[in-house]
Parts: sequence; structure tokens; C-alpha cells
Amino acid sequence: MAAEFLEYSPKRRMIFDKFFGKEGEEKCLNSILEHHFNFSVGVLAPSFSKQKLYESISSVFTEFSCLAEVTLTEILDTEFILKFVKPGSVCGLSHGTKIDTSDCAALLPTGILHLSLTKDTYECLGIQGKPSPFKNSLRFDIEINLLAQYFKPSKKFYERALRGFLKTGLKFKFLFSAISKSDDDEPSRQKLEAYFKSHGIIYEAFTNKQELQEFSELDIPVISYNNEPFLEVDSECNGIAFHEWLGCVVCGVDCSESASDSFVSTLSCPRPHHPGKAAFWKWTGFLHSDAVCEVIKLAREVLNKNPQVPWLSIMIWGFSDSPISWRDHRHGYFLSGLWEIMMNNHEYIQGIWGCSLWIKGGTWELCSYLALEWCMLVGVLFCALSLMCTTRGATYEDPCTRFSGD
Amino acid sequence: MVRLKSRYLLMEIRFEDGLVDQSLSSSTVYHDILRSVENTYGDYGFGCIKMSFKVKYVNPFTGVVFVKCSRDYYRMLWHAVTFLKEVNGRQCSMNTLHLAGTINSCQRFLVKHNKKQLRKMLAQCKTPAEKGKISKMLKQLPSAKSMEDEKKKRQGDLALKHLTG
Amino acid sequence: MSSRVTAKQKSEYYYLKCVLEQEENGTIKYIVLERVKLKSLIVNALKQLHGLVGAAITVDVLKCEKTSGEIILRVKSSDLIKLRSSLTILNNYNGTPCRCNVKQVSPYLMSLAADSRAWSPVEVRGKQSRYYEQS
Repeated sequence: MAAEFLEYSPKRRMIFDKFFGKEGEEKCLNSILEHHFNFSVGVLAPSFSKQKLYESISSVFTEFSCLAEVTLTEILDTEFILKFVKPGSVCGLSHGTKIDTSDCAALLPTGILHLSLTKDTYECLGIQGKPSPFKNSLRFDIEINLLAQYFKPSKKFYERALRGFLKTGLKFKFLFSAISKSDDDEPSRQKLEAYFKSHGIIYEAFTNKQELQEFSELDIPVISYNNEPFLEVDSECNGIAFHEWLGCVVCGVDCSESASDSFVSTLSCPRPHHPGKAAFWKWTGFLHSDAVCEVIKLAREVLNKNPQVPWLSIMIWGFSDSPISWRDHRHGYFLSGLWEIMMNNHEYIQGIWGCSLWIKGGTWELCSYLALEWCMLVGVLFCALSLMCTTRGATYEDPCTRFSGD
Repeated sequence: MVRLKSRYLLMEIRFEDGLVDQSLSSSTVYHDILRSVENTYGDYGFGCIKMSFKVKYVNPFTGVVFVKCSRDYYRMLWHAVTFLKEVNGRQCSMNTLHLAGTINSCQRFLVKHNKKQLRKMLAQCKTPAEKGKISKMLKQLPSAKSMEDEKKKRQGDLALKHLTG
Repeated sequence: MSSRVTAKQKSEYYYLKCVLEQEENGTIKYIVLERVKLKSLIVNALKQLHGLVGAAITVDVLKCEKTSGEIILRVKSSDLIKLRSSLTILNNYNGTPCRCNVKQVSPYLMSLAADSRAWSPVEVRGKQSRYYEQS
């Protein structure tokens, strides 16, 4: 029976791509630039010390970010659009909103405002949108291009949007990030702060958190991804197993003790492996994709300078409540925007660019993990419906109530 | 209107000591099977089965049991019955003879099955008195030909019903 | 010389991040257990809801954080529903009422390393944020 329910489980995809040379790296960087909202970035360097990693990758993620409570009418303000949206020097994401139960908003540096709204808000607003592509969710998506020709004051659509936002009074706590362009005469940080002050918007600046860890004794799998077995599903230390091992490291799971017949855990480190040390650096905050690219470039330098480092892994986590994942692809909760880039050097490939392999999990497949939550609900319907409402917590209220409504 | 589809299982209880239990009632069988379901499939299985589970008929002499269950969960019941070890406090095993969509077809199978068993017993008989008794019983049962006729008639009825709508 | 491989749609395992919570005089405390004890608690919960068939499920307790009580479990994707429902029904530990709060479920272990829902950019002295600062 369980199998029947799982058939409804959403589609997702994990893609392993292998690139070589400068072209490949550029391709890789371009796709990172399309992922605008990065929640966390991590760098894992085997046989590297904490100190060395700190020295080689520093002064990244220094851009200004702040949390400000802004109504949507304030975003439609012509001054704001001219000053910040047009040069593409600001991006914003609503914070504390849950994509499965409440309204969410995102402002891309490309000048597009994305709204993911519940049915109630959507109907009050009166702007045309599309129903959300995720099944089982009564949500609507609205996309407004703030820089379009037809989106100017006194034009019809602008007035309509303004009226709608005024009427519904949509207000979000936005995470704003100011992006500094080199050709700017005035840093966008000061511009943004000055703007907020002059318009009486309360904002609170925050810095990104950093966490530097060192693992002294770690079983590190030996991989060689110029060999095909790494990408083959059947081989023991393949990409999937390695990905799992990386997950163990970043989650702090100790997989050295467990055996395949252990009572507690049967997860073990993929073979062959050898003991070694590793350093892991993780940034958390509202990170901009330009800075992520910077990290990758620095990591490339680290690899070139230190031949003892076999590979480097860069992991990128997206926001789980962002309405947008890649480019302008829709995003639903339970769909983690997770990225990972691995790179290493191989002498025979000119020794300069080497090859980089990037792994994407949970990509832009249109799917929602909500469906999965639903299956579970059906599975224990008989005895658990009432209990579930009380124990599952606020996050899951939505599918529950909707289920009983059906 | 949605019809609740169900399945009927024809089962046979065999006690370890080979004796019959005259005090076997449908309620004891019902509770023992339900307990076994709860053991193997937990509260969830218990809830699934309890809704539609019914013991329709129990024959304490032959150990034959007719059980009704909803079509979605009959496999659960079937599995659980395999793990049943005790009925009425006595060691036993339960054997599923037939699975059918209607109780009628279950009964027809039972008639056939009983006939087969009686023939076997006839071959094993030692005294003439036993032989006479069993052959008398065999005669009372509907013959193969009459059963065939009945089947044809039923199929004809069904076809007619289908044609006339 | 580039190549692309797409992994199977259905991943083999699912990972769950959860905490065991206990309420005392209106404040939430986290129960920290040893891995073996936790495993037996989970097996008992599975047995309660899904019987012997449920108790036969292989659940790996990957992590049991000592300070924050954060638990990471791994289960075969076909058994996820059974485990998830049992954790929901789980309501007492050693006679004291408790609940299992599942924070994240993902087919990739790596996505459990960052939880943007529990993150707060500015320091807020709340229950939730204090817990996450510890970890």
C-alpha cells in the first residue's frame, strides 16, 4: 500500500554534470549567477588546515544586507525603481513567510517582482496571475516586470497594481541585499541606507554568519572522477554515495563506526577510503551569487597552488521558502535548492583549469513535496487525523486543514 | 453511488492435536484473527481491517471459516492469518483455501472441496459401516453434472441480463 | 569532453531531521537520548502503529546531537510513510509525554545541513532561535 502512495511522490532530479576546461567553468558560473537567493555556502577542503583555508579564502560575502519591513507599494515607488531596481543593485526576499501557507515575495536584480500568493490574497488583489504549477496547492503566482515599458505611473497596469497593493496592504519583512557595482560612484549600501532613512523605513542590518570547522580524523573516500565509474550507478563509490558522504560531513554525522549489520546505523563510508583531515567553512545569510562565484574562483586558485589537495567541494543551499529557484523557475516548499560543485586538477588536462563536476539536487522540475506530505496523511488517516493537527506544528497546518476540507 | 467492494476468504482451521473443537464460535475466531492482525500490522492494520471484517460462517466440526473483508485490505488479513497460532486457546494453524469476490462462489468451491475430501476418506475407510456412511453422504451432495448445469444456467442468466440490460 | 548523468528519479533513502520535545510548565525542553535508546524508542513506536511488519523496517539513527537534541534518521524511501506516521503518533518516553517534531525531510542528506526556516538574520531572543544558536 505504501508503494501505491509513493507513486504520487514528486518528481525530482539529481544531475551529475562533468565539465572540463575554462568553458565548462564559465558555464558553471553562469548557472550560479542565475540562482539569486543563496542561503548558505560551504567549502570543504580535504587535507587542508583550518588556518590555511581561512587565509586563502577571505573577504568574501561582505556585501550589505538588511531586514526591513516594507509594503509592496513602497517597492512600486518610482524613486525606488529608478534608484535601485533599474541599475539592478538590490535584490529582496520576504523573510519569515512560509511558501506553503502564506504569501511570499521576491524581487530579482533583473527587476522582476515575483509573488506567490494564497487564494484569498490573490482574489483580493485583482491582478492577473497564473495558478501555481504545484499540484494540490491552491496558490497563485504573479510576475510583475517593474522595468517594463507599460509599467509606469499613470499607465493602466501600474495604477491597477498600486490600487491592489494599497487595498490589501501587503507587507513583508524583506531581506535586502545591496549589490555593489564597480562603476557606481556611490556604494549602493549607503544609497540604500539613505533611502530607507529618508522614507522612514525601519531596517536592521545584519552580517552573515561564518563557521569554520576542522575535522582531524575523517575517512575520506578516494575518488577519481576522470574515470567513468564515479558516474556509474552500480559502482560502489559512485556520485550518489559520495554525495551522501558529503552530507554526512556537513551534517556532523559520524559514519566511521557503523557497520552494515549494526543495530543503530548501517550507513558507512564508501570504499576505498583513507583517513585524513579536512577543513570546512560555511557562511550563512543572505548571500549574493556574485560572491559565490568569487568563492569558486578563489577555490580554483587554492587548487592550483596546493597540489596536495585532491579536490574541493563547494556547496550551495537555497532558501526553502523562496518563490523562485533557478532563473524564474517556480519553487515549492520541500524542494530544496541544493547545489554542489566539486573541482579538482588533473595534470593531463593542461593543469590549469582541470575539471569540475557539479551536482544539482532538486532542480527546476516542477514538483512539490507537499504531495508527499499528503500521502502520509492518507496513510494514517484512520487513527491520526486529529492527533496530527496537534502534533505536527505550524508548518504542516495547511495540508491538514485542506485535507479535512476535502 | 460507490459500491463497497469486498473479498471473501474461505479458510480452514487445523488444530495441532488433530481433534475438533465444538465450542468454536464465530466470535472467538473473529477476536483471534483481529488480535493477530493487530500483532502483525499494528494499530493501523487493526483500524483498516476492523471496518469491514466479518466472520460469516464457522463450522466447528470441519473447521471451515468464511471471512469477509474489504477488497483494499484483504492482503493484510491474509498475511496476518498466516501468523495466527492460537484459536480458542489451542495451538492451530489456519489455511486459506479460496479467495473469491462473492460468498456464493466461495460456497461452490467448498462443495467441490468437500467432495474431494470425502473421496479421499472413502479410499481410507476400513470398516464397511464407515464406507456406507460416507458413500451416503457423497450421494447427498449435488453431482458434477448438476453443478455443471447450474453453472451454465447461471452464465445464461447473466448473458440474458446483459443483453436485456 | 563533458558528460552528464542523471540519477534515478526515486532515491533509495530518505533523511529526516527531528527533535524529541517535552513540555514542562509551558517551556519546551529537548530530550537527549543515546543512539541505542532512541533506536529502540523508534522501533517501539513503529511496532505500536504498524506491528511486526513495521518493526522490521530498517531505520538508521545517523546522529544524535548531545547539546541540541537534533536527530537525523535515514530510512528506505518505501518505508518513509510508515516511519513518518509512527513518529507523529509517538507520544511518550518512559511514561512522560513527549512529541517528535520533524523539522525537515529530504531525499538528500546534504539539504538537512541548512534550514532557512529556523534561521533568523537578526538576534531574536526566542525559544526557536536559542535552540538553533546552540547547534
